[in-house]
Amino acid sequence: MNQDGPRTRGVARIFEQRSVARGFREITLSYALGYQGPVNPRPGQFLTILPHRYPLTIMRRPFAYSGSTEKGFSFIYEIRGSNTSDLADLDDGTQVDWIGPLGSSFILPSPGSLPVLVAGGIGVGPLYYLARKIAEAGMKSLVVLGARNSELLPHLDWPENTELRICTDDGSAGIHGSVLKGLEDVDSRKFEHAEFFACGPRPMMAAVHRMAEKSDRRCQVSLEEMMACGVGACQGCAVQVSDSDDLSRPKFKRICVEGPVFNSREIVW
Amino acid sequence: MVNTPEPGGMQPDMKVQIAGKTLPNPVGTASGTFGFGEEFTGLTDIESLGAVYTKALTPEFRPGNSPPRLAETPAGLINSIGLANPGLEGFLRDKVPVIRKLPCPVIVNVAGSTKADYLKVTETVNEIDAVWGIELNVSCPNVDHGGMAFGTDPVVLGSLTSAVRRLCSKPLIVKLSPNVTDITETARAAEEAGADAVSCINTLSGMKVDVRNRRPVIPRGTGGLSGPAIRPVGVAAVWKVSKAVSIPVIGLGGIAGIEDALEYLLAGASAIQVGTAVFSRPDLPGIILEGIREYMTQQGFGSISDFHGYF
Repeated sequence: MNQDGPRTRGVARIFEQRSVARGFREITLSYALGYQGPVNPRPGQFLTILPHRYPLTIMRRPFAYSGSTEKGFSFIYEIRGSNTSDLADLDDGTQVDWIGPLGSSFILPSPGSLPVLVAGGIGVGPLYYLARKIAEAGMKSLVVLGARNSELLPHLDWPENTELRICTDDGSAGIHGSVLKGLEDVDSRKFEHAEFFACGPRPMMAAVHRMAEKSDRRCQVSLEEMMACGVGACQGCAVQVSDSDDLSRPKFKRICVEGPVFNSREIVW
Repeated sequence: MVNTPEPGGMQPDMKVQIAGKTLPNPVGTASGTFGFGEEFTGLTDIESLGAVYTKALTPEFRPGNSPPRLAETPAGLINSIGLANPGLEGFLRDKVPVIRKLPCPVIVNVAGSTKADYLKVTETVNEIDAVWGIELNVSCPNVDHGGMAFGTDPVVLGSLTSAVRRLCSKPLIVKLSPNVTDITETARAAEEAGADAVSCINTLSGMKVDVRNRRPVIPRGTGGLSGPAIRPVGVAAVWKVSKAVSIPVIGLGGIAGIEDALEYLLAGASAIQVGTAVFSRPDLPGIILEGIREYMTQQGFGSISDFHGYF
């Protein structure tokens, strides 16, 4: 996966926040005046922010970029605990301590392929960013979006040439079933040139991986794990990877540095 | 009692002496939180660090424990990394060149499963000029063999420390475990066996339960608790230990700001380490150093030894 690049720590201001689904918000932050750091995070990369209740909450929180301009950046988050609920309550203009861009990014699909982006729940953030980069490159994506119900479906401005397939577990919108059901209905001939990109619950990503493996297509996944440092020092965000050299002992990679985007074949599912 | 500030605002002397060697200042980064010194490049001023204490080093490569390895608790963090490290071979090949370039003293944290492991690592590391000193890790709670077992029995700790001492010509620091009834006993055992300093405390044994899935968050059950939650335990340990031994005490455990560091110094520490808080605020060691300097200037202390262990 693509890696490296400079990263920086800075203070950004909340430009705006908006609700994109029940309990899901997109926040846009503006770089500080005179900011000289990197402005080009790639889809799949992430940033960390210092919680407002630090040090009672001691760890920074990682979020995948959902967008970027020369003025600032965005990410989509789910209000899940006290820190994300604090974040949702912050007024526009509030300062946020951030570090980014961190980690690896998606390798853009090769010309002539069909990018199939599979997003489950909050996994939509990095894929939303990726879809727009793919569109900028003049390609068309198939986006399969899964949520438990219609209220949890994020409302986003997908690029015009995106084919969007909605799936809900309760059938309240789109296809009744998981994203896998959504993928089943696609004309199998389309998959001959597919390149898969998945982010969401682990079982969902594992299933997309198996599907891609069966049809011998590349699949990139963006993983998540509890993270303390975000820069490779603590080794807390380990994921087990397959090691063809020695199958008898486990081998791990750090999601924050070698990931969060991995070729799905690397991962021990 | 507050000393009268010196006229003319003399710069206080921040240096710390251990076994006749000098650290430029008392603020280091704790083992396990700063890798081998390169990971935070660009996010912190490494030159201003009093010392980098490396991730624990064992003779053999260790992949570490199965994830999840982290769990957050109020003002705390439970980790179960499992001494993941490149081993001596990887250390010599990949990390020593990095250490040679670091503009601050590097203290290698040495760990193992057996006494022979500790001796093997010590013997190799002792030969590396770029290494300032050795910190003996006898307090890791996250491995099946060795680790904390060496740090909870004073007799076992004394025997290991003496053996390492014979091979170590650099400053030798023993990192004490708080998971004991009386930490002064292990501190005295380390001193009697020839340690040049002790650092305290390592993490406390802790557990978080996932009530939804009805199992511990960390697969091994317990892990090591760090962060501000353990600071009062660390300060108390430093206070007791500094009264029980005559070698320097390096204080750590939950330092997340300037006052926290001052607490440790006043309670008896000659130096401190910032650990978990570095993850969130990589520039914190430099901020703390400046804060200590300012405090000393305002209060009229010319050197750390003027006020550490103040009561």
